[in-house]
Amino acid sequence: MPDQDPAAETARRRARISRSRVATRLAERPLRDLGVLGAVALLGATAAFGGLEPAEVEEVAPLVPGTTTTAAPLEVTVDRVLWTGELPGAYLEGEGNRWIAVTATVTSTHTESLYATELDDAVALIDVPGLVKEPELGTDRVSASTVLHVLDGSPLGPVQPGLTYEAVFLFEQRGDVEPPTDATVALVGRTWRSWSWQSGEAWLDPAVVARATLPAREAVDSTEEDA
Amino acid sequence: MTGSAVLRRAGAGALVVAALALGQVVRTSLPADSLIAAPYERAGDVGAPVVMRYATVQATGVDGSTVIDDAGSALTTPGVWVVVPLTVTAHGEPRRLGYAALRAADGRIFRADGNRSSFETGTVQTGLTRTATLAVELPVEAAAGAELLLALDATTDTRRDDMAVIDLGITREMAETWAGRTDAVAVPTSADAPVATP
Repeated sequence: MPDQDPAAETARRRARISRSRVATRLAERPLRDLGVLGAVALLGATAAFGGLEPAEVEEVAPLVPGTTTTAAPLEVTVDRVLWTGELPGAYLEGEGNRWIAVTATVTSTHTESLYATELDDAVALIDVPGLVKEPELGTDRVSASTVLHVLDGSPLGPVQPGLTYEAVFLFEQRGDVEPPTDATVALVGRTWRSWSWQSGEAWLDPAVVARATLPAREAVDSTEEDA
Repeated sequence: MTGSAVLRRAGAGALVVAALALGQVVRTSLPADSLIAAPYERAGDVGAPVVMRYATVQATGVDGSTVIDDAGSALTTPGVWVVVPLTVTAHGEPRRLGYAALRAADGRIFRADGNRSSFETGTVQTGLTRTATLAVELPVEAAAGAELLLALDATTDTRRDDMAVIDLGITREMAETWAGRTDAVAVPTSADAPVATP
Protein backbone atom coordinates (compact mmCIF):
# COMPACT_ATOMS: atom_id res chain seq x y z
CA MET A 1 0.00 0.00 0.00
CA PRO A 2 1.43 3.38 -0.89
CA ASP A 3 2.33 5.55 2.10
CA GLN A 4 0.18 8.66 2.72
CA ASP A 5 3.21 10.70 3.90
CA PRO A 6 3.84 13.37 1.25
CA ALA A 7 7.51 13.62 2.19
CA ALA A 8 8.00 9.90 1.66
CA GLU A 9 6.07 10.04 -1.61
CA THR A 10 8.36 12.85 -2.81
CA ALA A 11 11.42 10.83 -1.88
CA ARG A 12 10.13 7.82 -3.77
CA ARG A 13 9.39 9.89 -6.85
CA ARG A 14 12.92 11.30 -6.84
CA ALA A 15 14.35 7.85 -6.36
CA ARG A 16 12.40 6.58 -9.35
CA ILE A 17 13.63 9.49 -11.43
CA SER A 18 17.25 8.77 -10.46
CA ARG A 19 16.69 5.09 -11.26
CA SER A 20 18.54 4.15 -8.03
CA ARG A 21 17.39 0.92 -6.49
CA VAL A 22 19.29 1.62 -3.28
CA ALA A 23 17.68 5.03 -2.86
CA THR A 24 14.28 3.52 -3.64
CA ARG A 25 14.65 0.90 -0.98
CA LEU A 26 15.91 3.41 1.59
CA ALA A 27 13.04 5.78 0.89
CA GLU A 28 10.53 2.98 1.43
CA ARG A 29 11.96 2.09 4.86
CA PRO A 30 10.30 3.56 7.98
CA LEU A 31 12.16 6.48 9.47
CA ARG A 32 12.95 4.58 12.67
CA ASP A 33 14.93 2.04 10.64
CA LEU A 34 16.97 4.83 9.09
CA GLY A 35 17.71 6.13 12.59
CA VAL A 36 19.01 2.72 13.61
CA LEU A 37 21.12 2.52 10.45
CA GLY A 38 22.52 5.98 11.16
CA ALA A 39 23.46 5.06 14.71
CA VAL A 40 25.19 1.89 13.50
CA ALA A 41 27.12 3.92 10.92
CA LEU A 42 28.16 6.45 13.59
CA LEU A 43 29.39 3.76 15.97
CA GLY A 44 31.25 1.98 13.21
CA ALA A 45 32.98 5.15 12.06
CA THR A 46 33.98 6.28 15.56
CA ALA A 47 35.18 2.79 16.48
CA ALA A 48 37.98 3.25 13.96
CA PHE A 49 39.23 6.19 16.02
CA GLY A 50 38.94 4.80 19.54
CA GLY A 51 35.20 4.92 20.03
CA LEU A 52 32.93 7.30 21.89
CA GLU A 53 33.80 8.38 25.46
CA PRO A 54 31.96 6.39 28.17
CA ALA A 55 29.62 8.29 30.42
CA GLU A 56 31.27 8.59 33.84
CA VAL A 57 29.15 7.88 36.90
CA GLU A 58 30.45 9.62 40.02
CA GLU A 59 30.84 7.27 42.96
CA VAL A 60 31.55 8.85 46.34
CA ALA A 61 32.85 6.54 49.03
CA PRO A 62 32.63 7.21 52.75
CA LEU A 63 35.74 8.88 54.10
CA VAL A 64 37.12 6.94 57.07
CA PRO A 65 39.80 8.59 59.24
CA GLY A 66 42.95 6.53 59.37
CA THR A 67 42.14 4.75 56.12
CA THR A 68 44.10 5.53 52.95
CA THR A 69 41.95 6.75 50.08
CA THR A 70 43.05 7.25 46.50
CA ALA A 71 42.36 10.81 45.37
CA ALA A 72 44.47 10.66 42.23
CA PRO A 73 47.25 11.61 41.87
CA LEU A 74 47.50 11.42 45.68
CA GLU A 75 46.86 8.82 48.31
CA VAL A 76 45.41 10.58 51.34
CA THR A 77 44.89 9.42 54.92
CA VAL A 78 42.86 11.93 56.91
CA ASP A 79 43.56 12.03 60.64
CA ARG A 80 41.41 14.66 62.32
CA VAL A 81 39.81 18.11 62.11
CA LEU A 82 40.96 20.84 64.51
CA TRP A 83 40.53 24.57 64.79
CA THR A 84 42.92 27.15 66.19
CA GLY A 85 43.76 30.85 66.15
CA GLU A 86 47.34 31.79 65.40
CA LEU A 87 49.54 29.20 63.75
CA PRO A 88 53.28 29.62 63.04
CA GLY A 89 53.96 29.83 59.31
CA ALA A 90 50.34 30.60 58.40
CA TYR A 91 48.95 34.11 58.11
CA LEU A 92 45.27 34.93 58.59
CA GLU A 93 43.74 37.54 56.29
CA GLY A 94 41.36 38.92 58.88
CA GLU A 95 41.97 39.85 62.48
CA GLY A 96 40.14 37.53 64.83
CA ASN A 97 39.75 34.82 62.21
CA ARG A 98 40.75 31.26 62.89
CA TRP A 99 42.14 28.27 61.04
CA ILE A 100 40.23 25.03 60.53
CA ALA A 101 42.92 22.41 60.08
CA VAL A 102 42.56 18.99 58.50
CA THR A 103 45.60 16.87 59.28
CA ALA A 104 46.46 14.11 56.84
CA THR A 105 49.30 12.19 55.26
CA VAL A 106 49.66 12.52 51.50
CA THR A 107 51.70 10.49 49.03
CA SER A 108 52.02 11.29 45.35
CA THR A 109 51.73 8.35 42.97
CA HIS A 110 52.53 10.50 39.92
CA THR A 111 55.86 10.20 38.09
CA GLU A 112 56.66 13.91 38.36
CA SER A 113 56.46 16.64 40.99
CA LEU A 114 53.05 18.03 41.88
CA TYR A 115 52.18 21.59 42.77
CA ALA A 116 49.42 23.64 44.40
CA THR A 117 47.05 22.99 41.48
CA GLU A 118 46.81 19.32 42.39
CA LEU A 119 47.39 19.64 46.14
CA ASP A 120 45.32 22.51 47.52
CA ASP A 121 41.95 21.04 46.56
CA ALA A 122 42.79 17.41 47.34
CA VAL A 123 41.15 17.96 50.72
CA ALA A 124 38.11 20.25 50.75
CA LEU A 125 35.41 21.37 53.18
CA ILE A 126 31.72 21.38 52.32
CA ASP A 127 28.96 23.46 53.95
CA VAL A 128 31.17 24.89 56.68
CA PRO A 129 29.85 28.38 57.47
CA GLY A 130 32.06 31.46 57.47
CA LEU A 131 34.92 30.22 55.29
CA VAL A 132 36.86 33.13 53.81
CA LYS A 133 37.73 31.37 50.55
CA GLU A 134 35.01 31.02 47.95
CA PRO A 135 33.89 27.55 46.82
CA GLU A 136 35.38 26.13 43.65
CA LEU A 137 33.46 27.34 40.60
CA GLY A 138 30.28 25.33 40.10
CA THR A 139 30.71 23.34 43.31
CA ASP A 140 29.94 23.55 47.00
CA ARG A 141 33.43 22.61 48.18
CA VAL A 142 36.12 24.98 49.42
CA SER A 143 39.78 24.11 48.86
CA ALA A 144 42.54 24.86 51.34
CA SER A 145 44.04 28.33 51.64
CA THR A 146 47.44 26.78 52.26
CA VAL A 147 48.98 23.40 52.99
CA LEU A 148 51.88 23.10 55.43
CA HIS A 149 54.41 20.37 56.10
CA VAL A 150 53.95 19.37 59.73
CA LEU A 151 57.59 18.40 60.38
CA ASP A 152 58.95 21.90 59.78
CA GLY A 153 55.95 24.18 59.18
CA SER A 154 57.00 25.04 55.62
CA PRO A 155 54.52 25.47 52.76
CA LEU A 156 54.28 22.08 51.09
CA GLY A 157 55.47 22.12 47.52
CA PRO A 158 56.50 20.66 45.23
CA VAL A 159 55.10 17.30 46.34
CA GLN A 160 57.70 14.79 45.19
CA PRO A 161 56.78 11.34 43.85
CA GLY A 162 56.84 8.51 46.36
CA LEU A 163 57.34 10.60 49.51
CA THR A 164 54.75 10.46 52.31
CA TYR A 165 54.26 13.89 53.87
CA GLU A 166 52.53 14.74 57.12
CA ALA A 167 50.44 17.67 56.00
CA VAL A 168 47.91 20.07 57.43
CA PHE A 169 45.31 21.60 55.11
CA LEU A 170 44.29 25.03 56.43
CA PHE A 171 40.94 26.74 55.84
CA GLU A 172 40.43 30.27 57.16
CA GLN A 173 37.12 30.90 58.94
CA ARG A 174 35.76 34.28 60.00
CA GLY A 175 35.97 35.05 63.68
CA ASP A 176 32.33 36.21 63.93
CA VAL A 177 31.17 32.64 63.24
CA GLU A 178 31.08 30.01 65.98
CA PRO A 179 33.91 27.47 65.78
CA PRO A 180 32.70 24.21 64.21
CA THR A 181 31.85 21.12 66.25
CA ASP A 182 31.97 19.05 63.09
CA ALA A 183 32.92 19.53 59.44
CA THR A 184 32.19 17.74 56.18
CA VAL A 185 35.52 16.80 54.65
CA ALA A 186 35.78 15.74 51.02
CA LEU A 187 38.67 14.16 49.14
CA VAL A 188 38.98 15.27 45.53
CA GLY A 189 40.59 13.14 42.83
CA ARG A 190 41.54 13.98 39.25
CA THR A 191 41.92 12.19 35.93
CA TRP A 192 45.11 12.09 33.86
CA ARG A 193 44.15 12.92 30.31
CA SER A 194 44.91 15.11 27.32
CA TRP A 195 43.76 18.68 27.19
CA SER A 196 40.72 19.21 25.00
CA TRP A 197 42.02 22.42 23.48
CA GLN A 198 45.82 22.19 23.51
CA SER A 199 48.53 19.58 23.32
CA GLY A 200 49.82 17.87 26.42
CA GLU A 201 48.35 16.04 29.37
CA ALA A 202 47.48 17.06 32.92
CA TRP A 203 45.52 16.05 35.99
CA LEU A 204 42.06 17.35 35.12
CA ASP A 205 38.37 16.92 35.99
CA PRO A 206 38.48 17.28 39.81
CA ALA A 207 35.68 15.30 41.45
CA VAL A 208 34.81 14.21 44.98
CA VAL A 209 35.85 10.59 45.58
CA ALA A 210 35.15 10.35 49.33
CA ARG A 211 33.46 12.43 52.00
CA ALA A 212 32.32 12.29 55.61
CA THR A 213 31.27 14.58 58.41
CA LEU A 214 33.96 14.41 61.06
CA PRO A 215 34.04 15.85 64.60
CA ALA A 216 36.05 19.05 65.02
CA ARG A 217 37.64 20.32 68.21
CA GLU A 218 39.97 23.04 69.34
CA ALA A 219 43.64 22.26 68.89
CA VAL A 220 45.54 22.08 72.16
CA ASP A 221 49.28 22.34 72.74
CA SER A 222 50.75 18.82 72.57
CA THR A 223 52.74 19.48 75.75
CA GLU A 224 49.50 20.15 77.56
CA GLU A 225 48.14 16.85 76.24
CA ASP A 226 51.18 14.99 77.54
CA ALA A 227 50.90 16.60 80.99
CA MET B 1 22.66 7.54 -10.20
CA THR B 2 23.16 3.85 -11.00
CA GLY B 3 23.79 1.22 -8.39
CA SER B 4 27.38 0.67 -9.51
CA ALA B 5 28.14 4.38 -9.16
CA VAL B 6 26.75 4.34 -5.62
CA LEU B 7 28.89 1.33 -4.80
CA ARG B 8 31.99 3.04 -6.21
CA ARG B 9 31.37 6.13 -4.12
CA ALA B 10 30.67 4.04 -1.03
CA GLY B 11 33.87 2.11 -1.62
CA ALA B 12 35.88 5.32 -1.98
CA GLY B 13 34.39 6.63 1.24
CA ALA B 14 35.23 3.42 3.06
CA LEU B 15 38.83 3.64 1.82
CA VAL B 16 39.10 7.21 3.11
CA VAL B 17 37.80 6.18 6.54
CA ALA B 18 40.18 3.23 6.61
CA ALA B 19 43.13 5.47 5.72
CA LEU B 20 42.23 7.92 8.47
CA ALA B 21 41.87 5.10 11.00
CA LEU B 22 45.24 3.63 9.98
CA GLY B 23 46.86 7.04 10.35
CA GLN B 24 45.38 7.40 13.85
CA VAL B 25 46.73 3.96 14.84
CA VAL B 26 50.20 4.80 13.55
CA ARG B 27 50.22 8.20 15.25
CA THR B 28 49.13 6.90 18.65
CA SER B 29 51.29 3.77 18.58
CA LEU B 30 54.62 5.36 17.71
CA PRO B 31 56.32 7.94 20.02
CA ALA B 32 56.94 10.32 17.12
CA ASP B 33 55.66 13.43 18.92
CA SER B 34 57.86 12.95 22.00
CA LEU B 35 60.95 12.13 19.93
CA ILE B 36 60.57 15.21 17.77
CA ALA B 37 60.15 17.47 20.80
CA ALA B 38 62.91 15.89 22.97
CA PRO B 39 65.71 18.12 24.29
CA TYR B 40 69.36 17.64 23.24
CA GLU B 41 71.02 16.03 26.23
CA ARG B 42 74.61 17.06 27.04
CA ALA B 43 76.07 14.50 29.46
CA GLY B 44 78.60 15.17 32.19
CA ASP B 45 79.87 14.18 35.62
CA VAL B 46 80.46 15.94 38.91
CA GLY B 47 83.56 18.14 38.60
CA ALA B 48 83.43 18.39 34.81
CA PRO B 49 82.00 21.36 32.85
CA VAL B 50 79.00 20.73 30.62
CA VAL B 51 78.92 23.13 27.69
CA MET B 52 75.51 24.03 26.26
CA ARG B 53 74.30 26.55 23.72
CA TYR B 54 73.38 29.15 26.31
CA ALA B 55 75.57 28.34 29.35
CA THR B 56 78.29 26.16 30.81
CA VAL B 57 77.40 24.46 34.07
CA GLN B 58 79.53 22.47 36.46
CA ALA B 59 78.50 20.49 39.54
CA THR B 60 81.27 20.99 42.10
CA GLY B 61 80.11 18.39 44.63
CA VAL B 62 77.16 16.46 46.04
CA ASP B 63 75.97 16.01 49.62
CA GLY B 64 72.86 14.86 51.48
CA SER B 65 71.00 14.66 54.76
CA THR B 66 67.46 14.61 56.14
CA VAL B 67 67.72 18.29 57.05
CA ILE B 68 68.86 21.34 55.09
CA ASP B 69 69.47 24.91 56.21
CA ASP B 70 67.82 26.95 53.47
CA ALA B 71 68.59 30.63 54.14
CA GLY B 72 68.12 30.14 57.86
CA SER B 73 65.08 27.83 57.64
CA ALA B 74 65.54 24.22 58.71
CA LEU B 75 63.63 21.95 56.31
CA THR B 76 63.15 18.30 57.27
CA THR B 77 62.28 15.66 54.70
CA PRO B 78 60.57 12.27 55.06
CA GLY B 79 63.04 11.02 52.44
CA VAL B 80 66.54 12.39 51.82
CA TRP B 81 67.80 15.78 50.63
CA VAL B 82 70.32 15.82 47.77
CA VAL B 83 72.32 19.05 47.70
CA VAL B 84 74.45 19.98 44.67
CA PRO B 85 76.52 23.18 44.46
CA LEU B 86 77.02 24.42 40.89
CA THR B 87 78.66 27.11 38.83
CA VAL B 88 76.84 28.66 35.86
CA THR B 89 78.53 30.73 33.14
CA ALA B 90 76.27 32.53 30.64
CA HIS B 91 76.92 32.54 26.87
CA GLY B 92 75.69 35.12 24.38
CA GLU B 93 73.31 37.05 26.62
CA PRO B 94 72.26 37.16 30.29
CA ARG B 95 70.74 33.84 31.32
CA ARG B 96 68.62 32.46 34.14
CA LEU B 97 68.27 28.69 34.20
CA GLY B 98 64.58 27.97 34.71
CA TYR B 99 64.51 24.19 34.79
CA ALA B 100 66.29 22.00 37.34
CA ALA B 101 65.36 18.49 38.42
CA LEU B 102 66.69 15.12 39.49
CA ARG B 103 65.83 12.17 37.28
CA ALA B 104 65.77 8.83 39.06
CA ALA B 105 66.88 5.62 37.42
CA ASP B 106 63.22 4.61 36.96
CA GLY B 107 62.49 7.84 35.07
CA ARG B 108 60.64 9.72 37.80
CA ILE B 109 61.27 13.46 37.77
CA PHE B 110 61.83 15.46 40.98
CA ARG B 111 61.63 19.18 40.19
CA ALA B 112 63.50 21.91 42.08
CA ASP B 113 61.21 24.92 41.74
CA GLY B 114 59.12 25.34 44.86
CA ASN B 115 59.18 26.36 48.51
CA ARG B 116 61.05 23.24 49.51
CA SER B 117 62.99 21.69 46.62
CA SER B 118 64.59 24.68 44.94
CA PHE B 119 67.26 26.01 42.61
CA GLU B 120 67.73 29.68 41.84
CA THR B 121 70.67 31.10 39.91
CA GLY B 122 69.49 34.66 39.62
CA THR B 123 70.41 36.41 36.36
CA VAL B 124 73.85 35.38 35.17
CA GLN B 125 75.40 38.17 33.13
CA THR B 126 77.05 37.36 29.82
CA GLY B 127 80.47 35.82 30.27
CA LEU B 128 80.24 35.87 34.06
CA THR B 129 79.95 32.94 36.45
CA ARG B 130 77.59 32.56 39.38
CA THR B 131 77.44 29.92 42.08
CA ALA B 132 74.09 28.37 42.96
CA THR B 133 73.03 25.37 45.03
CA LEU B 134 70.29 22.91 44.20
CA ALA B 135 68.39 21.06 46.94
CA VAL B 136 65.86 18.34 46.11
CA GLU B 137 64.09 15.89 48.41
CA LEU B 138 63.28 12.44 47.13
CA PRO B 139 62.83 8.88 48.37
CA VAL B 140 66.04 7.20 49.50
CA GLU B 141 65.76 4.48 46.85
CA ALA B 142 65.36 7.10 44.11
CA ALA B 143 68.55 8.98 45.06
CA ALA B 144 70.90 6.16 44.03
CA GLY B 145 71.79 6.64 40.36
CA ALA B 146 69.94 9.95 40.06
CA GLU B 147 70.95 12.43 37.34
CA LEU B 148 70.77 16.21 37.55
CA LEU B 149 68.89 17.89 34.69
CA LEU B 150 69.42 21.58 33.93
CA ALA B 151 67.83 23.59 31.14
CA LEU B 152 67.01 27.15 30.23
CA ASP B 153 63.29 27.64 29.79
CA ALA B 154 61.41 28.77 32.88
CA THR B 155 58.10 27.55 31.52
CA THR B 156 59.39 23.98 31.70
CA ASP B 157 59.46 23.79 27.90
CA THR B 158 62.63 21.81 27.36
CA ARG B 159 61.90 20.87 23.78
CA ARG B 160 64.53 21.12 21.07
CA ASP B 161 67.21 22.88 23.16
CA ASP B 162 70.26 21.80 25.15
CA MET B 163 69.80 20.14 28.51
CA ALA B 164 72.68 19.24 30.85
CA VAL B 165 72.45 15.72 32.26
CA ILE B 166 74.96 15.29 35.08
CA ASP B 167 75.59 11.91 36.67
CA LEU B 168 75.85 12.67 40.39
CA GLY B 169 77.54 9.36 41.20
CA ILE B 170 75.21 8.65 44.13
CA THR B 171 75.40 5.04 45.32
CA ARG B 172 72.86 3.23 47.44
CA GLU B 173 75.30 3.30 50.36
CA MET B 174 75.68 7.07 50.07
CA ALA B 175 71.90 7.56 49.98
CA GLU B 176 71.35 5.35 53.03
CA THR B 177 74.09 7.19 54.93
CA TRP B 178 72.45 10.52 54.14
CA ALA B 179 69.07 9.14 55.25
CA GLY B 180 70.55 8.61 58.70
CA ARG B 181 71.97 12.13 59.06
CA THR B 182 70.15 14.77 61.07
CA ASP B 183 72.76 17.56 60.87
CA ALA B 184 71.69 20.27 58.45
CA VAL B 185 73.45 20.72 55.08
CA ALA B 186 73.69 24.39 54.17
CA VAL B 187 72.07 25.66 50.98
CA PRO B 188 73.62 29.09 50.36
CA THR B 189 71.94 31.66 48.15
CA SER B 190 73.31 32.23 44.64
CA ALA B 191 76.12 34.72 44.21
CA ASP B 192 78.69 35.89 41.69
CA ALA B 193 81.68 33.59 41.69
CA PRO B 194 84.86 35.21 42.96
CA VAL B 195 87.08 36.40 40.11
CA ALA B 196 90.51 34.84 40.12
CA THR B 197 93.17 37.48 40.62
CA PRO B 198 96.31 37.17 38.46
